[in-house]
Amino acid sequence: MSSLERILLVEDDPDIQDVAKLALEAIGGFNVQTCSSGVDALEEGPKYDPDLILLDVMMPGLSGPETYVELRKIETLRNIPVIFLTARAQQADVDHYKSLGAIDVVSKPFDPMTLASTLQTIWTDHHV
Amino acid sequence: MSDAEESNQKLEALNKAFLEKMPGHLEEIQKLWGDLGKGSGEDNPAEALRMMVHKLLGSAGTFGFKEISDLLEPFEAFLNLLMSEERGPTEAEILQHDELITSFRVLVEKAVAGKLVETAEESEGQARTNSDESSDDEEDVTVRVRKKRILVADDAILLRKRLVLAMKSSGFDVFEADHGRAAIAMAKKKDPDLILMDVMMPQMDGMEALQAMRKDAILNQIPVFMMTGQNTMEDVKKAMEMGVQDFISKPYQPDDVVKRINEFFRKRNRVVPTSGFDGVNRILVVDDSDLLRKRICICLEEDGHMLLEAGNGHEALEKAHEFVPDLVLMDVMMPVMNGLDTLRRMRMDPLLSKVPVIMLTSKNTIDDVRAASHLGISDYISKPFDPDSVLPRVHKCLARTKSRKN
Repeated sequence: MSSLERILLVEDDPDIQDVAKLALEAIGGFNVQTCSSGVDALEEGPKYDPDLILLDVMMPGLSGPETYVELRKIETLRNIPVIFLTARAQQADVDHYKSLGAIDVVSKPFDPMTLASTLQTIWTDHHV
Repeated sequence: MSDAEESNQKLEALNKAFLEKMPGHLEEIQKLWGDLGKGSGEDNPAEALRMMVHKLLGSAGTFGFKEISDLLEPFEAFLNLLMSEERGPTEAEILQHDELITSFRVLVEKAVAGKLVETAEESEGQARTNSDESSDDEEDVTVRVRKKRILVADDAILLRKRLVLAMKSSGFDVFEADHGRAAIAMAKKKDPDLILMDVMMPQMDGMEALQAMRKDAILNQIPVFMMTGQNTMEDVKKAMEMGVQDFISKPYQPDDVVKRINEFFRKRNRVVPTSGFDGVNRILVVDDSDLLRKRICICLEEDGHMLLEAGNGHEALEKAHEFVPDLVLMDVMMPVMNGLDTLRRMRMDPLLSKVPVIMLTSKNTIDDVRAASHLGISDYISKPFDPDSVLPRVHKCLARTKSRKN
Protein backbone atom coordinates (compact mmCIF):
# COMPACT_ATOMS: atom_id res chain seq x y z
CA MET A 1 0.00 0.00 0.00
CA SER A 2 1.28 3.44 -0.85
CA SER A 3 1.47 5.83 2.06
CA LEU A 4 -0.58 8.98 2.37
CA GLU A 5 1.59 12.03 1.84
CA ARG A 6 0.06 14.58 -0.47
CA ILE A 7 -3.41 15.95 0.08
CA LEU A 8 -5.34 18.31 -2.18
CA LEU A 9 -7.71 20.38 -0.05
CA VAL A 10 -10.60 22.01 -1.92
CA GLU A 11 -12.49 24.41 0.34
CA ASP A 12 -13.86 27.86 -0.35
CA ASP A 13 -14.10 28.98 3.28
CA PRO A 14 -10.74 30.60 4.07
CA ASP A 15 -11.07 29.91 7.80
CA ILE A 16 -11.66 26.22 7.34
CA GLN A 17 -8.96 26.12 4.70
CA ASP A 18 -6.44 27.62 7.13
CA VAL A 19 -7.30 25.42 10.05
CA ALA A 20 -7.49 22.23 7.99
CA LYS A 21 -4.16 22.99 6.31
CA LEU A 22 -2.56 23.58 9.68
CA ALA A 23 -4.12 20.46 11.14
CA LEU A 24 -2.90 18.30 8.26
CA GLU A 25 0.55 19.82 7.92
CA ALA A 26 1.64 20.67 11.43
CA ILE A 27 -0.17 17.90 13.25
CA GLY A 28 -0.37 15.19 10.59
CA GLY A 29 2.88 15.93 8.79
CA PHE A 30 1.24 15.76 5.37
CA ASN A 31 1.98 17.92 2.38
CA VAL A 32 -1.08 20.02 1.56
CA GLN A 33 -2.09 22.02 -1.50
CA THR A 34 -5.16 24.23 -1.10
CA CYS A 35 -7.70 25.30 -3.71
CA SER A 36 -10.55 27.74 -3.09
CA SER A 37 -12.94 26.49 -5.72
CA GLY A 38 -13.83 23.53 -7.88
CA VAL A 39 -12.47 25.26 -10.95
CA ASP A 40 -9.19 25.83 -9.12
CA ALA A 41 -9.04 22.16 -8.22
CA LEU A 42 -9.49 21.06 -11.83
CA GLU A 43 -6.56 23.27 -12.78
CA GLU A 44 -4.23 22.64 -9.83
CA GLY A 45 -5.09 18.99 -9.25
CA PRO A 46 -3.19 17.40 -12.16
CA LYS A 47 -0.11 19.58 -11.48
CA TYR A 48 0.01 18.68 -7.80
CA ASP A 49 -0.48 14.93 -8.21
CA PRO A 50 -2.16 14.24 -4.83
CA ASP A 51 -2.60 10.90 -3.01
CA LEU A 52 -5.95 12.04 -1.65
CA ILE A 53 -8.46 14.79 -2.35
CA LEU A 54 -10.43 16.39 0.47
CA LEU A 55 -13.38 18.09 -1.20
CA ASP A 56 -15.89 20.46 0.38
CA VAL A 57 -19.49 19.79 -0.66
CA MET A 58 -21.09 23.21 -0.63
CA MET A 59 -19.12 25.67 -2.71
CA PRO A 60 -20.36 28.49 -4.91
CA GLY A 61 -19.91 27.97 -8.64
CA LEU A 62 -18.90 24.37 -9.03
CA SER A 63 -20.20 22.40 -6.04
CA GLY A 64 -18.28 19.54 -4.46
CA PRO A 65 -20.23 16.76 -6.20
CA GLU A 66 -19.99 18.62 -9.56
CA THR A 67 -16.26 19.05 -9.06
CA TYR A 68 -16.03 15.36 -8.26
CA VAL A 69 -17.60 14.41 -11.60
CA GLU A 70 -15.20 16.70 -13.47
CA LEU A 71 -12.17 15.41 -11.55
CA ARG A 72 -13.08 11.88 -12.59
CA LYS A 73 -12.74 12.91 -16.22
CA ILE A 74 -9.08 13.84 -15.74
CA GLU A 75 -6.89 10.88 -16.61
CA THR A 76 -4.26 11.38 -13.87
CA LEU A 77 -6.84 11.96 -11.15
CA ARG A 78 -9.34 9.30 -12.14
CA ASN A 79 -8.33 6.88 -9.41
CA ILE A 80 -7.36 9.29 -6.65
CA PRO A 81 -9.53 8.66 -3.58
CA VAL A 82 -11.85 11.53 -2.64
CA ILE A 83 -13.21 12.33 0.82
CA PHE A 84 -16.06 14.79 1.04
CA LEU A 85 -16.02 17.45 3.70
CA THR A 86 -19.43 18.73 4.74
CA ALA A 87 -21.38 20.36 7.52
CA ARG A 88 -24.33 18.50 8.97
CA ALA A 89 -23.64 15.08 7.48
CA GLN A 90 -26.66 12.87 8.10
CA GLN A 91 -26.33 9.17 7.38
CA ALA A 92 -28.41 9.68 4.23
CA ASP A 93 -25.96 12.34 3.02
CA VAL A 94 -23.00 10.10 3.77
CA ASP A 95 -24.63 7.26 1.83
CA HIS A 96 -25.38 9.58 -1.05
CA TYR A 97 -21.81 10.89 -1.30
CA LYS A 98 -20.42 7.41 -1.03
CA SER A 99 -22.71 6.26 -3.82
CA LEU A 100 -21.12 8.93 -5.99
CA GLY A 101 -17.80 7.22 -5.37
CA ALA A 102 -16.29 9.05 -2.39
CA ILE A 103 -14.41 6.74 -0.04
CA ASP A 104 -15.78 8.53 3.01
CA VAL A 105 -17.26 11.72 4.40
CA VAL A 106 -15.77 13.92 7.12
CA SER A 107 -18.25 16.21 8.80
CA LYS A 108 -17.79 19.77 9.90
CA PRO A 109 -17.26 20.89 12.56
CA PHE A 110 -14.23 18.66 12.94
CA ASP A 111 -11.62 18.57 15.64
CA PRO A 112 -8.41 20.07 14.20
CA MET A 113 -6.33 17.97 16.58
CA THR A 114 -7.64 14.70 15.18
CA LEU A 115 -8.42 15.52 11.54
CA ALA A 116 -5.09 14.12 10.35
CA SER A 117 -5.50 10.82 12.16
CA THR A 118 -9.08 10.57 10.91
CA LEU A 119 -7.90 10.86 7.33
CA GLN A 120 -5.07 8.40 7.96
CA THR A 121 -7.54 5.85 9.34
CA ILE A 122 -9.89 6.26 6.37
CA TRP A 123 -6.92 5.93 4.02
CA THR A 124 -5.70 2.76 5.71
CA ASP A 125 -9.17 1.20 5.80
CA HIS A 126 -9.66 2.02 2.14
CA HIS A 127 -6.51 0.18 1.20
CA VAL A 128 -7.16 -2.94 3.24
CA MET B 1 9.71 24.99 20.94
CA SER B 2 8.35 21.54 20.14
CA ASP B 3 6.28 20.91 17.05
CA ALA B 4 3.24 20.28 19.18
CA GLU B 5 3.61 23.58 20.97
CA GLU B 6 4.14 25.35 17.73
CA SER B 7 1.05 23.93 16.10
CA ASN B 8 -0.90 24.67 19.24
CA GLN B 9 0.19 28.26 19.06
CA LYS B 10 -0.69 28.48 15.40
CA LEU B 11 -4.05 26.96 16.12
CA GLU B 12 -4.66 29.53 18.80
CA ALA B 13 -3.71 32.31 16.40
CA LEU B 14 -6.14 30.94 13.80
CA ASN B 15 -8.77 30.69 16.47
CA LYS B 16 -8.27 34.31 17.38
CA ALA B 17 -8.35 35.42 13.76
CA PHE B 18 -11.58 33.51 13.29
CA LEU B 19 -13.08 35.11 16.34
CA GLU B 20 -12.26 38.57 15.07
CA LYS B 21 -14.35 37.90 11.98
CA MET B 22 -17.37 36.75 13.94
CA PRO B 23 -19.00 40.15 14.47
CA GLY B 24 -18.73 40.70 10.70
CA HIS B 25 -20.36 37.33 10.01
CA LEU B 26 -23.07 38.16 12.47
CA GLU B 27 -23.76 41.49 10.83
CA GLU B 28 -24.00 39.89 7.43
CA ILE B 29 -26.36 37.20 8.67
CA GLN B 30 -28.52 39.83 10.33
CA LYS B 31 -28.65 41.86 7.15
CA LEU B 32 -29.51 38.89 4.93
CA TRP B 33 -32.15 37.75 7.39
CA GLY B 34 -33.66 41.24 7.35
CA ASP B 35 -33.67 41.24 3.55
CA LEU B 36 -35.28 37.83 3.49
CA GLY B 37 -38.07 39.00 5.81
CA LYS B 38 -38.72 42.10 3.73
CA GLY B 39 -38.26 40.29 0.43
CA SER B 40 -35.70 42.93 -0.59
CA GLY B 41 -31.94 43.14 -1.04
CA GLU B 42 -30.03 40.52 -2.99
CA ASP B 43 -31.65 38.47 -5.72
CA ASN B 44 -31.80 35.45 -3.55
CA PRO B 45 -31.13 36.28 0.08
CA ALA B 46 -32.27 32.81 1.17
CA GLU B 47 -29.57 31.11 -0.87
CA ALA B 48 -26.89 33.55 0.27
CA LEU B 49 -28.00 33.23 3.86
CA ARG B 50 -28.11 29.47 3.74
CA MET B 51 -24.60 29.33 2.33
CA MET B 52 -23.38 31.70 5.00
CA VAL B 53 -25.06 29.81 7.84
CA HIS B 54 -23.95 26.45 6.51
CA LYS B 55 -20.34 27.57 6.32
CA LEU B 56 -20.40 29.15 9.72
CA LEU B 57 -21.93 26.18 11.44
CA GLY B 58 -19.13 24.07 10.01
CA SER B 59 -16.36 26.46 10.91
CA ALA B 60 -17.53 27.76 14.30
CA GLY B 61 -17.48 24.29 15.81
CA THR B 62 -14.12 23.54 14.24
CA PHE B 63 -12.73 26.60 15.96
CA GLY B 64 -14.12 25.46 19.28
CA PHE B 65 -17.39 27.38 19.39
CA LYS B 66 -19.68 24.41 19.47
CA GLU B 67 -22.56 26.38 21.00
CA ILE B 68 -22.65 28.55 17.90
CA SER B 69 -22.70 25.54 15.60
CA ASP B 70 -25.47 23.95 17.64
CA LEU B 71 -27.52 27.10 17.41
CA LEU B 72 -27.06 27.50 13.66
CA GLU B 73 -27.96 23.92 12.85
CA PRO B 74 -31.74 24.29 13.19
CA PHE B 75 -31.48 27.66 11.44
CA GLU B 76 -29.88 26.04 8.43
CA ALA B 77 -32.52 23.32 8.41
CA PHE B 78 -35.18 26.03 8.43
CA LEU B 79 -33.53 27.87 5.53
CA ASN B 80 -33.39 24.61 3.59
CA LEU B 81 -37.10 24.22 4.19
CA LEU B 82 -37.80 27.74 2.90
CA MET B 83 -35.80 27.05 -0.22
CA SER B 84 -37.37 23.70 -0.92
CA GLU B 85 -40.82 25.22 -0.50
CA GLU B 86 -39.77 28.30 -2.48
CA ARG B 87 -41.28 30.74 -0.04
CA GLY B 88 -40.32 33.45 2.39
CA PRO B 89 -40.65 33.18 6.16
CA THR B 90 -44.07 33.74 7.74
CA GLU B 91 -44.49 36.40 10.39
CA ALA B 92 -44.39 33.82 13.16
CA GLU B 93 -41.24 32.30 11.72
CA ILE B 94 -39.63 35.72 11.50
CA LEU B 95 -40.32 36.34 15.17
CA GLN B 96 -39.12 32.93 16.15
CA HIS B 97 -35.87 33.21 14.25
CA ASP B 98 -35.31 36.80 15.28
CA GLU B 99 -34.93 35.34 18.73
CA LEU B 100 -32.51 32.78 17.44
CA ILE B 101 -30.41 35.51 15.87
CA THR B 102 -30.53 37.44 19.13
CA SER B 103 -29.23 34.34 20.88
CA PHE B 104 -26.56 34.10 18.23
CA ARG B 105 -25.57 37.70 18.87
CA VAL B 106 -25.32 37.04 22.59
CA LEU B 107 -23.10 34.04 21.91
CA VAL B 108 -20.86 36.01 19.59
CA GLU B 109 -20.54 38.79 22.14
CA LYS B 110 -19.64 36.26 24.77
CA ALA B 111 -17.17 34.53 22.49
CA VAL B 112 -15.49 37.82 21.64
CA ALA B 113 -15.31 38.68 25.33
CA GLY B 114 -13.64 35.31 25.85
CA LYS B 115 -16.45 34.01 27.99
CA LEU B 116 -17.93 31.29 25.90
CA VAL B 117 -15.54 28.58 26.87
CA GLU B 118 -15.34 29.48 30.53
CA THR B 119 -18.83 29.59 31.90
CA ALA B 120 -17.39 29.05 35.37
CA GLU B 121 -17.35 32.79 36.01
CA GLU B 122 -21.03 33.09 35.31
CA SER B 123 -21.99 30.20 37.50
CA GLU B 124 -20.07 31.78 40.33
CA GLY B 125 -22.84 34.28 40.92
CA GLN B 126 -25.30 31.49 41.19
CA ALA B 127 -23.05 29.43 43.42
CA ARG B 128 -22.79 32.39 45.73
CA THR B 129 -26.56 32.70 46.02
CA ASN B 130 -26.73 29.06 46.93
CA SER B 131 -24.13 29.38 49.60
CA ASP B 132 -25.83 32.42 51.09
CA GLU B 133 -28.96 30.46 51.58
CA SER B 134 -27.33 27.42 53.00
CA SER B 135 -24.72 29.14 55.11
CA ASP B 136 -25.43 26.80 58.00
CA ASP B 137 -24.93 23.93 55.73
CA GLU B 138 -21.25 23.04 55.98
CA GLU B 139 -21.32 19.73 54.18
CA ASP B 140 -22.38 21.19 50.90
CA VAL B 141 -19.14 22.65 49.61
CA THR B 142 -19.27 20.52 46.50
CA VAL B 143 -22.81 21.57 45.72
CA ARG B 144 -21.75 25.18 45.71
CA VAL B 145 -18.98 24.57 43.26
CA ARG B 146 -20.55 21.95 41.06
CA LYS B 147 -22.81 23.30 38.39
CA LYS B 148 -26.34 21.97 38.40
CA ARG B 149 -26.79 19.43 35.64
CA ILE B 150 -29.96 19.50 33.62
CA LEU B 151 -31.16 17.05 31.03
CA VAL B 152 -33.60 18.31 28.40
CA ALA B 153 -35.59 15.72 26.48
CA ASP B 154 -37.51 17.23 23.60
CA ASP B 155 -37.69 16.28 19.95
CA ALA B 156 -38.46 19.86 18.85
CA ILE B 157 -34.89 20.80 18.16
CA LEU B 158 -35.32 24.54 17.71
CA LEU B 159 -37.22 24.94 20.97
CA ARG B 160 -34.74 22.74 22.72
CA LYS B 161 -31.71 24.64 21.50
CA ARG B 162 -33.18 27.95 22.63
CA LEU B 163 -33.92 26.54 26.03
CA VAL B 164 -30.51 24.91 26.30
CA LEU B 165 -28.88 28.17 25.42
CA ALA B 166 -30.79 30.08 28.08
CA MET B 167 -29.91 27.45 30.67
CA LYS B 168 -26.26 27.36 29.72
CA SER B 169 -25.94 31.09 29.94
CA SER B 170 -27.44 30.86 33.43
CA GLY B 171 -24.61 28.58 34.43
CA PHE B 172 -26.18 25.15 34.15
CA ASP B 173 -24.56 22.12 32.61
CA VAL B 174 -27.00 20.91 30.01
CA PHE B 175 -27.44 17.59 28.25
CA GLU B 176 -29.90 16.87 25.47
CA ALA B 177 -32.00 13.96 24.28
CA ASP B 178 -34.36 13.57 21.31
CA HIS B 179 -36.73 11.06 22.84
CA GLY B 180 -37.54 9.17 26.02
CA ARG B 181 -35.21 6.27 25.46
CA ALA B 182 -32.27 8.57 24.80
CA ALA B 183 -33.24 10.56 27.89
CA ILE B 184 -33.07 7.49 30.10
CA ALA B 185 -29.71 6.44 28.70
CA MET B 186 -28.39 9.96 29.14
CA ALA B 187 -29.77 10.23 32.68
CA LYS B 188 -27.94 7.05 33.67
CA LYS B 189 -24.71 8.37 32.24
CA LYS B 190 -24.84 11.98 33.38
CA ASP B 191 -26.67 11.81 36.70
CA PRO B 192 -28.57 15.09 36.21
CA ASP B 193 -30.01 17.15 39.06
CA LEU B 194 -33.17 17.80 37.08
CA ILE B 195 -34.85 16.51 33.93
CA LEU B 196 -37.08 18.60 31.68
CA MET B 197 -39.19 16.15 29.75
CA ASP B 198 -41.48 16.81 26.83
CA VAL B 199 -44.62 14.69 26.79
CA MET B 200 -44.99 14.16 23.05
CA MET B 201 -41.87 12.55 21.64
CA PRO B 202 -41.22 9.83 19.07
CA GLN B 203 -39.97 6.36 20.04
CA MET B 204 -40.70 6.71 23.74
CA ASP B 205 -42.86 9.56 24.96
CA GLY B 206 -42.35 11.49 28.17
CA MET B 207 -44.93 9.58 30.20
CA GLU B 208 -43.46 6.22 29.26
CA ALA B 209 -39.99 7.46 30.05
CA LEU B 210 -41.17 8.73 33.40
CA GLN B 211 -42.80 5.40 34.14
CA ALA B 212 -39.60 3.56 33.29
CA MET B 213 -37.58 5.93 35.46
CA ARG B 214 -39.84 5.38 38.44
CA LYS B 215 -38.98 1.68 38.36
CA ASP B 216 -35.26 2.40 38.56
CA ALA B 217 -33.87 2.94 42.06
CA ILE B 218 -31.40 5.62 40.99
CA LEU B 219 -33.37 7.40 38.27
CA ASN B 220 -36.35 7.49 40.58
CA GLN B 221 -34.53 10.07 42.71
CA ILE B 222 -34.19 12.61 39.91
CA PRO B 223 -36.78 15.40 39.92
CA VAL B 224 -38.68 15.89 36.67
CA PHE B 225 -40.43 18.87 35.08
CA MET B 226 -42.93 17.91 32.40
CA MET B 227 -43.25 20.12 29.33
CA THR B 228 -46.49 19.88 27.47
CA GLY B 229 -48.55 21.68 24.89
CA GLN B 230 -51.89 20.35 26.02
CA ASN B 231 -52.05 20.32 29.79
CA THR B 232 -54.94 17.87 29.86
CA MET B 233 -56.23 17.00 33.28
CA GLU B 234 -55.60 13.37 32.49
CA ASP B 235 -51.91 14.01 31.82
CA VAL B 236 -51.48 16.24 34.82
CA LYS B 237 -53.10 13.69 37.08
CA LYS B 238 -51.09 10.81 35.74
CA ALA B 239 -47.81 12.69 35.90
CA MET B 240 -48.52 13.93 39.40
CA GLU B 241 -49.14 10.44 40.60
CA MET B 242 -45.72 9.61 39.29
CA GLY B 243 -44.22 12.50 41.19
CA VAL B 244 -43.52 15.25 38.69
CA GLN B 245 -42.18 18.40 40.34
CA ASP B 246 -43.52 21.01 37.94
CA PHE B 247 -45.34 21.54 34.69
CA ILE B 248 -44.15 23.83 31.97
CA SER B 249 -46.73 24.74 29.36
CA LYS B 250 -45.65 25.14 25.80
CA PRO B 251 -45.02 27.56 24.28
CA TYR B 252 -42.76 28.92 26.98
CA GLN B 253 -40.21 31.68 27.28
CA PRO B 254 -36.78 30.14 27.92
CA ASP B 255 -36.06 32.76 30.56
CA ASP B 256 -39.21 31.85 32.46
CA VAL B 257 -38.20 28.22 32.49
CA VAL B 258 -34.78 29.16 33.84
CA LYS B 259 -36.50 31.16 36.58
CA ARG B 260 -38.63 28.17 37.53
CA ILE B 261 -35.55 25.97 37.64
CA ASN B 262 -33.64 28.41 39.83
CA GLU B 263 -36.60 28.70 42.13
CA PHE B 264 -36.88 24.95 42.37
CA PHE B 265 -33.23 24.54 43.35
CA ARG B 266 -33.41 27.43 45.77
CA LYS B 267 -36.37 25.96 47.57
CA ARG B 268 -34.77 22.58 47.77
CA ASN B 269 -31.73 24.09 49.42
CA ARG B 270 -33.77 25.99 51.90
CA VAL B 271 -34.44 24.50 55.30
CA VAL B 272 -38.18 24.46 55.75
CA PRO B 273 -38.95 26.65 58.76
CA THR B 274 -40.87 24.86 61.45
CA SER B 275 -43.04 26.26 64.22
CA GLY B 276 -41.18 27.98 66.98
CA PHE B 277 -42.74 26.30 69.96
CA ASP B 278 -44.83 23.34 70.86
CA GLY B 279 -48.55 23.43 70.48
CA VAL B 280 -48.59 26.54 68.33
CA ASN B 281 -49.08 25.91 64.67
CA ARG B 282 -49.20 28.14 61.66
CA ILE B 283 -52.52 27.60 59.97
CA LEU B 284 -53.50 29.07 56.63
CA VAL B 285 -57.21 29.55 56.07
CA VAL B 286 -58.27 29.98 52.45
CA ASP B 287 -61.84 30.97 51.67
CA ASP B 288 -63.36 33.72 49.53
CA SER B 289 -66.10 34.32 52.08
CA ASP B 290 -64.68 36.92 54.46
CA LEU B 291 -67.25 36.12 57.07
CA LEU B 292 -66.63 32.39 57.20
CA ARG B 293 -62.89 32.86 57.07
CA LYS B 294 -62.91 35.30 59.98
CA ARG B 295 -65.05 33.02 62.09
CA ILE B 296 -62.73 30.06 61.53
CA CYS B 297 -59.71 32.23 62.25
CA ILE B 298 -61.11 33.59 65.51
CA CYS B 299 -61.84 30.11 66.66
CA LEU B 300 -58.35 28.81 65.85
CA GLU B 301 -56.67 31.90 67.25
CA GLU B 302 -58.40 31.34 70.55
CA ASP B 303 -56.96 27.85 70.48
CA GLY B 304 -53.50 29.50 70.40
CA HIS B 305 -52.44 29.16 66.76
CA MET B 306 -50.93 31.66 64.38
CA LEU B 307 -53.29 32.41 61.53
CA LEU B 308 -52.71 33.36 57.92
CA GLU B 309 -55.56 34.21 55.59
CA ALA B 310 -56.12 34.15 51.86
CA GLY B 311 -59.16 34.91 49.71
CA ASN B 312 -58.26 32.68 46.79
CA GLY B 313 -55.79 30.01 45.72
CA HIS B 314 -53.34 32.39 44.17
CA GLU B 315 -53.07 34.42 47.36
CA ALA B 316 -52.82 31.20 49.32
CA LEU B 317 -49.77 30.05 47.38
CA GLU B 318 -48.10 33.41 47.90
CA LYS B 319 -48.74 33.37 51.65
CA ALA B 320 -47.69 29.75 51.94
CA HIS B 321 -44.40 30.55 50.28
CA GLU B 322 -43.71 33.41 52.57
CA PHE B 323 -44.46 31.38 55.60
CA VAL B 324 -44.78 27.64 55.18
CA PRO B 325 -47.89 26.62 57.16
CA ASP B 326 -48.28 23.54 59.34
CA LEU B 327 -51.82 23.10 58.11
CA VAL B 328 -54.08 24.54 55.43
CA LEU B 329 -57.88 24.79 55.58
CA MET B 330 -59.12 25.48 52.08
CA ASP B 331 -62.43 26.06 50.34
CA VAL B 332 -62.98 24.48 46.91
CA MET B 333 -65.06 27.05 45.05
CA MET B 334 -63.05 30.26 44.88
CA PRO B 335 -62.38 32.92 42.26
CA VAL B 336 -58.98 33.29 40.52
CA MET B 337 -57.74 29.84 41.49
CA ASN B 338 -59.97 27.20 43.00
CA GLY B 339 -59.05 24.97 45.89
CA LEU B 340 -58.26 21.80 43.98
CA ASP B 341 -56.05 23.61 41.49
CA THR B 342 -54.26 25.24 44.37
CA LEU B 343 -53.80 21.91 46.06
CA ARG B 344 -52.44 20.44 42.87
CA ARG B 345 -49.88 23.22 42.67
CA MET B 346 -48.94 22.74 46.27
CA ARG B 347 -48.29 19.07 45.66
CA MET B 348 -45.98 19.89 42.79
CA ASP B 349 -44.11 22.41 44.87
CA PRO B 350 -41.19 20.94 46.82
CA LEU B 351 -41.73 23.44 49.61
CA LEU B 352 -45.42 22.69 50.04
CA SER B 353 -45.82 19.13 48.82
CA LYS B 354 -46.11 17.68 52.32
CA VAL B 355 -48.26 20.32 54.02
CA PRO B 356 -51.46 18.70 55.32
CA VAL B 357 -54.66 20.15 53.88
CA ILE B 358 -58.24 20.00 55.09
CA MET B 359 -60.73 20.86 52.35
CA LEU B 360 -63.90 22.78 53.06
CA THR B 361 -66.52 21.32 50.75
CA SER B 362 -70.09 22.01 49.79
CA LYS B 363 -72.74 19.77 48.28
CA ASN B 364 -71.57 20.79 44.82
CA THR B 365 -67.92 20.08 45.34
CA ILE B 366 -67.86 17.02 47.57
CA ASP B 367 -67.59 14.60 44.64
CA ASP B 368 -64.67 16.49 43.15
CA VAL B 369 -62.84 16.40 46.44
CA ARG B 370 -63.44 12.70 46.86
CA ALA B 371 -62.15 12.12 43.34
CA ALA B 372 -59.01 14.07 44.18
CA SER B 373 -57.87 11.75 46.95
CA HIS B 374 -54.56 11.22 45.13
CA LEU B 375 -53.69 14.80 46.01
CA GLY B 376 -53.24 13.84 49.63
CA ILE B 377 -56.20 15.44 51.39
CA SER B 378 -56.01 14.94 55.16
CA ASP B 379 -59.68 15.51 55.84
CA TYR B 380 -62.67 17.40 54.56
CA ILE B 381 -65.35 19.33 56.33
CA SER B 382 -68.74 19.78 54.69
CA LYS B 383 -70.36 23.17 54.66
CA PRO B 384 -72.33 24.48 56.40
CA PHE B 385 -70.52 23.79 59.63
CA ASP B 386 -70.21 25.29 63.07
CA PRO B 387 -66.75 26.91 63.31
CA ASP B 388 -66.25 25.32 66.71
CA SER B 389 -66.61 21.88 65.17
CA VAL B 390 -63.48 22.60 63.12
CA LEU B 391 -61.24 22.48 66.20
CA PRO B 392 -61.27 18.73 66.90
CA ARG B 393 -60.61 17.98 63.20
CA VAL B 394 -57.69 20.40 63.20
CA HIS B 395 -56.24 18.84 66.35
CA LYS B 396 -56.55 15.37 64.96
CA CYS B 397 -54.86 16.33 61.75
CA LEU B 398 -51.99 18.13 63.49
CA ALA B 399 -51.45 15.23 65.88
CA ARG B 400 -51.28 12.82 62.97
CA THR B 401 -48.73 14.96 61.15
CA LYS B 402 -46.65 15.27 64.28
CA SER B 403 -46.57 11.54 64.99
CA ARG B 404 -45.53 10.95 61.39
CA LYS B 405 -42.69 13.45 61.74
CA ASN B 406 -41.42 11.81 64.91
